[in-house]
Amino acid sequence: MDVEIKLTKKRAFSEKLFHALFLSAGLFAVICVTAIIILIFTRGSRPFMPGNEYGTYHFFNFLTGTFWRPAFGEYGVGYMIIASLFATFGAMLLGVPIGILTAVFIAEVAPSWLAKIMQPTVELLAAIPSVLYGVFGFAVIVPMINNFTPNPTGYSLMAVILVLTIMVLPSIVAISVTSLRAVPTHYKEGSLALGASHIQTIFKVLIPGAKSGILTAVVLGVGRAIGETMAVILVAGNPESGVPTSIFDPVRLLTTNIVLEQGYATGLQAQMLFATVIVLFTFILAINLTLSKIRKKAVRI
Amino acid sequence: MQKRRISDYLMTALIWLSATATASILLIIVGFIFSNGWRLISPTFLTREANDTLRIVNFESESMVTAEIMGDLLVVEGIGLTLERDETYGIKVNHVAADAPGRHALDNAGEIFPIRRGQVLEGINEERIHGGTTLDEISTMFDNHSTFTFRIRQLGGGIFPMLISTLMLIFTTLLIATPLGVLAAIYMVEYAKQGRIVNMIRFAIEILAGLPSVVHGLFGMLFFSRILGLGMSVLSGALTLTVLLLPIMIRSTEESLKTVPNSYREASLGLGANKIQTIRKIILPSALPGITVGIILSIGRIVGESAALLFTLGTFARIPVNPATGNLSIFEAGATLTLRAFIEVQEFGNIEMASAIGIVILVIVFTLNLCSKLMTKKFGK
Amino acid sequence: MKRIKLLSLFMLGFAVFLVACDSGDNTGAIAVVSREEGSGARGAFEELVDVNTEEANTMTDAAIIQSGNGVVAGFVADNQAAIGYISFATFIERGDALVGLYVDGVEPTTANMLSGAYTLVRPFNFVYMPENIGIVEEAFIAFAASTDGLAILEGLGAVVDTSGAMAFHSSDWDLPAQTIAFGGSTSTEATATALMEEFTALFPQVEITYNASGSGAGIVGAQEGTYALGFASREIRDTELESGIHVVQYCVDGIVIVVNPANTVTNLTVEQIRAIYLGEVTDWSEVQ
Repeated sequence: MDVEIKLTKKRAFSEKLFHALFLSAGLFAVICVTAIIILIFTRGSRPFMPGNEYGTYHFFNFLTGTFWRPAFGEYGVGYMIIASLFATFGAMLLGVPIGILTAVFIAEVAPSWLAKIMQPTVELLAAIPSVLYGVFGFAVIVPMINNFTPNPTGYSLMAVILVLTIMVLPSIVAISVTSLRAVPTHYKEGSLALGASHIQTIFKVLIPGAKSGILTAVVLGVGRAIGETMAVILVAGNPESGVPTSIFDPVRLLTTNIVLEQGYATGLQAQMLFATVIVLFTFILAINLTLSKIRKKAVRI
Repeated sequence: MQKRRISDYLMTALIWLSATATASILLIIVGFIFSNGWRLISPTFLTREANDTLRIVNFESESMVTAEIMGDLLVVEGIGLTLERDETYGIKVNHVAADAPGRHALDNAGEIFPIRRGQVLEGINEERIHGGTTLDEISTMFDNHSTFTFRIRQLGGGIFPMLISTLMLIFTTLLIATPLGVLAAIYMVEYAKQGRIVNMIRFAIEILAGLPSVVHGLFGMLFFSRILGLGMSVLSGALTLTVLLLPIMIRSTEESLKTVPNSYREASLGLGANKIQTIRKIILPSALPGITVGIILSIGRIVGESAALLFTLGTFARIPVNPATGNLSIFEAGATLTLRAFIEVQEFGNIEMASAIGIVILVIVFTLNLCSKLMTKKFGK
Repeated sequence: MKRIKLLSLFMLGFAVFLVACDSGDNTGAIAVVSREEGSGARGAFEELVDVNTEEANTMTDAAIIQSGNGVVAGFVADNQAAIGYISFATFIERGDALVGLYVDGVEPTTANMLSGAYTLVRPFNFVYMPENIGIVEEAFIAFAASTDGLAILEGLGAVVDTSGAMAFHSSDWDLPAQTIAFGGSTSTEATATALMEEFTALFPQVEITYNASGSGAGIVGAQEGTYALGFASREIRDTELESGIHVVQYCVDGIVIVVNPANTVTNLTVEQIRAIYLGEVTDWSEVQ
């Protein structure tokens, strides 16, 4: 009897131990996120609080300023916010239609042998590291734009948009294909039986049916586009001021600003980089929430 | 009817156009990288050091030394060396005999630095050799000498250090991230009751997944490199990548754990096994394919990641070794393939080198992709 | 369908807006390229040319920022309308790919830099915190100042002061096996790595790494101890000296203003260079 109780107690103890182990593994993610948020938000918000050892800065000026000149104590990310938004918007404008249409091709239009080739092709595109897209942009896209740009160089918003489009295409296509295929076949059959053509069926029945998945793809694409750094840093031009008024203007994005200065920023400048991260963070969150809302609304319809 | 048919044809054309565009983009980019980099690819490219190594080495000859010009080469008897002229570098070593004393030449630290084919000779005893020196001019430098001090340069331009760094990074990151991810996923699926803790963890994973890699890099630089004092090292990079990869590992493990039928769990518990035994012996083995796919995805991500490593691993091309012991060390720094490719473009504008590294990266990534496909196919998920 | 039509219309409008919002023909427009904020070459250039020294003379919006000597050189070599500034060592390395402008009628050569006729010169410094360095770094510092070290620097085109320099004898030093980390300017990279290469040939048990992250990063790195020696291609500022770092100027380097070989301009005054970087002069026709 004694031995039995001992064994049961031991087993109960080891069970509890393992439970704690698994729980802590799970909480690790929470700890990391908390640490990241604390570190970044404390450092990034200090310049805007009174009593900062490196001096204070007005938050409004920070958000709307169009000059980033640390040497003069000017830290304006306004023009970068605009550039990031334009770039993301432009990449979505180009990438979403092409992506959805390509997904339609793979899922519906292509003969099955072609679809079997296209799908791995798109997946391979997704696997290429972003740096190589940047190298391609630097060596091919920028000189190409240089030929017809009214500006002196090819480093421009257009180059950024093109590179970002290429980068978001694979994820949009992949997810859209899955969602299109997931639409119940009787939708399609019903539509065709009613006399609609294949194309009409695709656009009036299947795509709306796959709406939720497609919107997820768009959300992911936006997240990727707004957070991309390495590919973009080689083609953007990275000027220190100037709101882009033309697609041929060079731009500096929120993300590239961080990487460019990360190595040597100290004092107030370093804090400002964290502040830039906060702005980036906020935008990603805002865009994700808006798109989530749109998605929920769309699915309900 | 006519109108509909025209718009139908238009849309079909657009659809084909988009698909062609997407496919061509891939072909153009891969083609670009291969065409720009293939010239540098060779077995030596994969095994050479990245930077040149300059050494001053000493060796003696047992027998009489005579130098004789034979055709394009300078044959030096007595030390078993054949030298040739090279337009770019000056004088290079063409052949080293099997019994040549140069094979055991000692450098200034007393270590052996063998003279090998392909090295550039920059000095013999007191004389310096330049790019324009001819074989004639040096043939006299060997006479009446029995001890030699050579300035020898082993050419770099290879990616061997980057390969080692990448492998070390993959290994270290997976060592930390896989257990963490799997254990966390087990908690989410097997233990947790739907409630605050699970939602909190899930929310955290969502946020981690949505953070751009720049932010991970900034955090890693701040926390692992500076606060924890790891500096620029493989470990610092591995920890940063662990945080970045956690969502991927947890999600793919979760997915595969969920596909294990509940009947397995019930049967196991019914037979008297406790939870731990069930997990260890029944559930995990069934979920293994999914976990493996997660690992392969992570490896692909590690190989391709750059922003998170710029300031946690550093960009210098070297093998991460402890110089005192000569052993590989995760506390040392050494750039990975992708990082190096970026630096080659950003600092030197060297598209050729970046593309050559790109070819190696693409081969690795495509192979991984293939493996993961085969894996999913085999285990029918 | 209606939504898609609306969207495509909007798309078109947006594209037209972005493309049309730029005025006519700009052939001959100058493509100005500068370095990133932490660059020593930039700091030195701006001081010598008097750009960005105060609110009244900030650099033009249109300047493209590139990180690194090599990329600036590549940018100018590939772009016929470009103008940029690079280190003299990089300029020599590039040979015919670039044209170095005469400044105020003086050609950028070592002789002219030595005599002072060519005015765009700046010091190459390395900095360190005395408590962070050991015998290996001391040996390197001695080597850099020795006749052997100076000869290497001269070979790369740097301007050196050989008075008082002595020969370096490796036998005087007994160094342990160690890795030491250097970091800093891309401009100093050529000279630093040449010295490092020779030094490690003399002492193969020492491994030296060089992280070319910019002058600013080099100084910060030295202050924090990440780098044993931090390299900067400009004067060290008073605010930086406050941390107690020691500075050693190991040679002087010229800043060469480069343009594409296809460009017909061969000579500019400092005022003209200044005007270009301020954005007051935007077309090559204005400086012919």
